Amino acid sequence: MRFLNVHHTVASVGRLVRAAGGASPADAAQLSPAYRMMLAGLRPIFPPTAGVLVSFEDGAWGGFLAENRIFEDIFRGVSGTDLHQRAAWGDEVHRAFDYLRDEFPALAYLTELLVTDVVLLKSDSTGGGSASQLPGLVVISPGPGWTTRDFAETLVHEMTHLNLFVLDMAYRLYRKTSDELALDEHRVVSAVRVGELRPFDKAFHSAVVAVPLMYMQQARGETALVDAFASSLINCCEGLEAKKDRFTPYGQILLAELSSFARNLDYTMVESGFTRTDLAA
Amino acid sequence: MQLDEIATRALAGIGGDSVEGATVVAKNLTAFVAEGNSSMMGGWT
Repeated sequence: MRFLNVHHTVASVGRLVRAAGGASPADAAQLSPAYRMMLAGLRPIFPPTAGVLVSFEDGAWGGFLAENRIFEDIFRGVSGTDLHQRAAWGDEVHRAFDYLRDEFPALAYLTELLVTDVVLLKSDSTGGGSASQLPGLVVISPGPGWTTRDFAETLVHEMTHLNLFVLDMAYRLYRKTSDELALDEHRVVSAVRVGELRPFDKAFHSAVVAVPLMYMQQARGETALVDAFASSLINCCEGLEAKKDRFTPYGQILLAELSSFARNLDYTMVESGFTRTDLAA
Repeated sequence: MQLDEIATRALAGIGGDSVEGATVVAKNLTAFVAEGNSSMMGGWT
């Protein structure tokens, strides 16, 4: 699966760095610094030089997002976080990365490459967000009682969105713009909001995100996501396939890989797909 | 194979990209940036 393949994502990031005018990174050690230099040219706020920078609702990112009404749903009812809350959530983010490195090293590798900034806030919403024009940034409003695994799954969830944006930047996924894909004639039944028609690109994103989350849950013997969404995931894939002319040829390859997983729920395909080196663009 | 080794191999591989291929990626990046923002948010959206 190209959308969860280390080789494919690294090659794509390398190509983007070069396309943006940077020097092509020669090895793994040069990749993240080169990508962060590229992000500095795409975003209003520079990424940290290494690691993930955690901030809160009153930080530079929090102010920018609120001012520009990005992630309005997540910011709905936002209130201040105290020092105790900040310390506890900040620790959870770092424990989540530790958990991913220990249990899911390939997902950790992708997350550490693609997520550079995490904004944590307390609001009426629970969940995370990422945006196509703000690569590297993840916003999270944690729910009450969230554990390290919830933080880890949210980071992987948003990393998968960010990865799809990277692949879209490098190779293009759709033949139409995101605004056009929101029109009624391009909508597809959601894999998650059962029965709801969603914009074509958002339906595809949400279905792709299901794959690593189902994989992580089955690895620890849980079936909640599979039980809840296995059927609707197939329905979503069928809807996307019926309108697959909205995809570019490259997007159709990703859809075929997603559909194959949805129909077989073959986790060995996900596992082996992380490290295959034969998946071309 | 270690993940860093896979990454280094991937980066070596793009050194063989054609000029045309690199130009297409540059055009794709420009078009993507010009399209404007698309946000993905929610519990599992």
